[in-house]
Amino acid sequence: MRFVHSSDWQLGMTRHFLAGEAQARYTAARIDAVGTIGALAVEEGCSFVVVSGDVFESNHVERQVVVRALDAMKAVPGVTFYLLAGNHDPLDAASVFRSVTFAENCPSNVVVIADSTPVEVAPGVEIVGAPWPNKRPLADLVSKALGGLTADGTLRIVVGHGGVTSMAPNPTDPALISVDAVGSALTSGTVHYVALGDRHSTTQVDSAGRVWYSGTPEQTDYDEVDPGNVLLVELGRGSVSVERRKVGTWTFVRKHFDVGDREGIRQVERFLDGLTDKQRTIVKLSLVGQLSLVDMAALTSELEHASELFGALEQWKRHSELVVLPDDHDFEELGLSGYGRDALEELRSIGSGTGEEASVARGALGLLFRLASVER
Amino acid sequence: MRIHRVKIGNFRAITSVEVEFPTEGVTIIEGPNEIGKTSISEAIDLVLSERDDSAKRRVKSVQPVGRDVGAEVEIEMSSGPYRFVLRKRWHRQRETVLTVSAPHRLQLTGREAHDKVQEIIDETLDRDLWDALRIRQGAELHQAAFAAGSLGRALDAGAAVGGPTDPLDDLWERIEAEWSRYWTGGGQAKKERVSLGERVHEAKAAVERVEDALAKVEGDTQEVERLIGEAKALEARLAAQADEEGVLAARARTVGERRHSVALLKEKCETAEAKYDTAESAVRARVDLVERAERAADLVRELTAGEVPTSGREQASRLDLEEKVAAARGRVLQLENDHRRAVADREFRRHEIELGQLAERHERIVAALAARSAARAVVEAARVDEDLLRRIEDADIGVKVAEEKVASGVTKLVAEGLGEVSLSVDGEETPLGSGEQRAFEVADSIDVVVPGVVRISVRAGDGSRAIAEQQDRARQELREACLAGGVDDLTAARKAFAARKDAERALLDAKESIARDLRDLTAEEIEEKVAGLRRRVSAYESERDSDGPLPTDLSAARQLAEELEAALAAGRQELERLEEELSRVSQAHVDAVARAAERHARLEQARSALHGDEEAVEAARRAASDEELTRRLEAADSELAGCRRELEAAQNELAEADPDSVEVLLENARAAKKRLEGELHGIEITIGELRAKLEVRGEEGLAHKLDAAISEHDHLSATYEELEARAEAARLLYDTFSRHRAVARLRYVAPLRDSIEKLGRLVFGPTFEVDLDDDLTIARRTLDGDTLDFEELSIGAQEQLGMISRLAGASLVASDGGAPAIFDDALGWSDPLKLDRMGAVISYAGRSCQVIVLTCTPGRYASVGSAKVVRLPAPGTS
Repeated sequence: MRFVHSSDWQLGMTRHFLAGEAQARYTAARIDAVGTIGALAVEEGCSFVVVSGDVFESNHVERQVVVRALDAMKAVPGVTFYLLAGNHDPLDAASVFRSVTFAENCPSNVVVIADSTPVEVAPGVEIVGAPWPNKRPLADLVSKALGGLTADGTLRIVVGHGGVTSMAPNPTDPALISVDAVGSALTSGTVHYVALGDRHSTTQVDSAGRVWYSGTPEQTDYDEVDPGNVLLVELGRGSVSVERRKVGTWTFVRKHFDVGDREGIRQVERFLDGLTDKQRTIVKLSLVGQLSLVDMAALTSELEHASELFGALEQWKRHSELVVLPDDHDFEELGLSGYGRDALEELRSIGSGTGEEASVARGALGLLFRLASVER
Repeated sequence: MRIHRVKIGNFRAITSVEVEFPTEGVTIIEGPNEIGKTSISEAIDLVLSERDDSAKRRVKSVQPVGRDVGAEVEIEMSSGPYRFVLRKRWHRQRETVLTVSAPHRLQLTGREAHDKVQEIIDETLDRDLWDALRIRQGAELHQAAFAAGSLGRALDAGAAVGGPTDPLDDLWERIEAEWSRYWTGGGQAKKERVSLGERVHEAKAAVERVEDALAKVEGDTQEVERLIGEAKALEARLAAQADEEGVLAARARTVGERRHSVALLKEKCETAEAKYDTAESAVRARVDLVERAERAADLVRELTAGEVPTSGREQASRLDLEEKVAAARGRVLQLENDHRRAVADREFRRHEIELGQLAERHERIVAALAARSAARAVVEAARVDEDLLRRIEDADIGVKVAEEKVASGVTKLVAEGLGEVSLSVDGEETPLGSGEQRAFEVADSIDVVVPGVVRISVRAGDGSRAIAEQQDRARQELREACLAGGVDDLTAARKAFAARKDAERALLDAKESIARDLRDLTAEEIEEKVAGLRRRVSAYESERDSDGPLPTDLSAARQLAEELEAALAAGRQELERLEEELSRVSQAHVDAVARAAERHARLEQARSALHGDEEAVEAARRAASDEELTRRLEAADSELAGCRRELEAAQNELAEADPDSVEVLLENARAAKKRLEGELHGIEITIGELRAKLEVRGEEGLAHKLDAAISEHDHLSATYEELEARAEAARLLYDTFSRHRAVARLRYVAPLRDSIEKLGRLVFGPTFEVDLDDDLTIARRTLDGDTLDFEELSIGAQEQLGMISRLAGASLVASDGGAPAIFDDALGWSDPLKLDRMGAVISYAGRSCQVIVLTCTPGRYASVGSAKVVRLPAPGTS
């Protein structure tokens, strides 16, 4: 029994730091991933794919996204996609799965898991889903779904979404999936695999390797540890094998640099230069340091150059602190004298401090430098 | 900078000249214009700035005309630490040679030499100041344009030791320009910034709008969830309600059954009651029947006992009374007859008297009418009334008066017959006896003819004729008046008037008499009345019956009538009394008869009733004996009591089932169920509506819109922040520079002003003061308390002040670096007195700086005390 476990497609997600063309490519890549997953399923002889929640970024995604996603799934012959509603696209009254657009375009090989009633996907094989009924469920939906099941020899795959108790940042959340409950259901042979979604990084939850987060097929953010995968699951009553397959094409990279001197700037250059597949790489830099005008010009030029190459290049503002303070060298050649020199000294004195005023003063110095240089 | 020596050759018209300058002090170079004392300053300029291969016009123009030689200039000068000799030749055999002697010896030629000189100049000389301190001939009469920087730097002790050309003013302009890109003159943010800020704001609002829309959708979604929960709770409550309703319905059924059996028992009771009532009424009817029969027997006995016969006495008194009534009636009739006749007699007698009186009145009237007619005839015939009589009297008097006048005043002809004679007087034969005298009044004329003898014509005068005419008129009047009165003369008139008066009085009397007797009647009416009365009187006399004598007169008749009237009243009263008594007696009789008949009828009736009753009792007893009836009543009574006991038991059972509350509860349960169903339905409708709304909203792609709006906002606010940061930077730069600049100016202005005033007082006296502008030019000059703008000063004064300000500037900067002040034929506009004074100024300034004065007017600067004068040779000499 082989199938593909995926989740967190989050179709319709936009990344505002992606400028026009990159945004389009990124959006397309997420839809393309659906096709890639389908192709993988066909190639590996899987008859179905489970998507453990957050198929869509929101219940309010553009309807064009819905149509394209359904079209991409329709194009995969002989493979059924079982879609679960997650926290992003819960089955509430505004659910995208219940929209007219979805209903009108839903092909026969796409099944939305409407509730926890077991769905037979092959003789003796059932899927038991725990869809999110709304954005804030007040109970562990998976445990509830397990409630009515007995070990009757049926091979069961549980499809769930959300954090688990063993790795939750907020352990008081009542909707957390109880690892213990899942564990005992596995032990008793009531269920045999738990396909989870929500974490964008591919993660094995239990030691037996029957509870997994597949992770998102296309990376969506910098802090995802092992994204871009789907899981190819070979499941038997007594055996399980899970294999991760890379499908993602985009990479998010975040890096910190000290650029207080020339060497720092050169490090930034080397780092950016070393990244491959720049078109589909989104870089966020946090840059800290005090630069002279000359160095700042060099750094700016490098960054401008890089931003042409990469999918996106942004500065991590919260973690960046670039202080441009013109040094003696910068102004030496300007040869200001008289009151010009007095004014310059005053600005430098303010600029060497901290806070808003200092920042304005540094701006004024940069401007002075530019205006005085034009003359020469 | 100091110029020590200049040597020129083949420069314009000058073949060769060499001038040495003292380091301090004034050098006056005199020379004719054509020779070009200007050439000296021009040569200094060219050698320092133009390369030997320059093809500029100003270079070309200095080549001597018509000689194939190159112009040549050699200058020895010091500037900063440098001292050097520079020699250049243009046009022919071009050459540049630089020999530096300090601080290090150095010799360069050609391009290198030129560049080195530029380097030295740029390093040590303020070109602006250099330009400012020169007055070229005729060109700059006005003020020195000291760049603040130049003078400032020169004045600034720290920066005084050499220094490159200062770009500060240009920089300042750029800073201002940059500042004004972001700020308005008033220091407000420029429109572009404001509008970008507004766009940021709008973008934020757009984000909020989409967020609001999403929040609303989220709210609706949650509302649907909540409503679904509520619907579920309602369904549960509905089910519970249905259960309760079932229980209550069962209880209600029990109540119904018991109620039914109570109803049945009630019916049974009613039947038993009816039966009892029947038995009871049968008993009562029997008792009644028996009692009635007994009462009938009593009645018959009573009626039989009470019968009595009528009496004959009553009858007799009634008949007697009837006779008395008849007699009284006859008496009354007789009296009525007598009374009627007496009244008629009385009337007759009254009519008789009336007739007599009326007839008398009638006779009087007839007589009066006749008298009235006669009097009226007399009055109508007698025409002389009072007026006419007076007229006649007057006329008579007039005649008498006229006659008097005639007698006294008319011409008279008196003829006396002497014999008998017949005279013809006015043709009328008038005999005249002898002795007879005849007088003729001559009114007009008169002809008296004695036929055959004489004709005597007498003509009256005018007076006589008038008197005669008057007499005629008087007579005529009398005649006419008498004629009107139908009388002959006054006497007759008076008689006629008296007769008329009498008749009038008679007429009045008759009228009065008639009126008195007629009163309100006419004569005819009275006549008719008389006739009528007469007829009635005679008719009564003939028609009256003879039953008694006619009373003799009215008073007798009246008395008789009264007596009869009293008798008649008494008779009538008696009759009435009798009739009444008769009536009473008759009615008593009728009543007695009726009473007897009634009693008889009643007795018959009672007997018949008694008979019927007795039969009925007998028949009833035959049907059921009295004892039988009593027994039946007792049976019915006992049955009824049994039924009532049963009913009471059943009612108690019903009450135990609490029928009222069961029904109320059941009804309430049903209403509650219905209400819950309504609520549920309402909620389902709301859910449906919200779902429809959400469906529509879902199609809008709000998530995407929000992303787009956020991106737009982020982008705009980044741009805006950057712009604002630039604006703030520009502002700070501008403010800082502006402040320092102002401070610097202040520092330069004071010494320059002091220096200008010090020199100026030499020329204009101790009250001389100046105000300097921002650009260090003289704005105003004050003299003896009188302040004028620079432009208002005379050209001479402007020229003098221009020179003074240059000298002041040059003095200030001379101690270190600086540049010589060079004046090319200045002060052309100054009067001799001022010129003298200016000489003192130049001389004084020359103590602290190098001053070079060029002039083509020898003697113009004679007053300059300590000056070295160099006279340029005439052309062609050397």
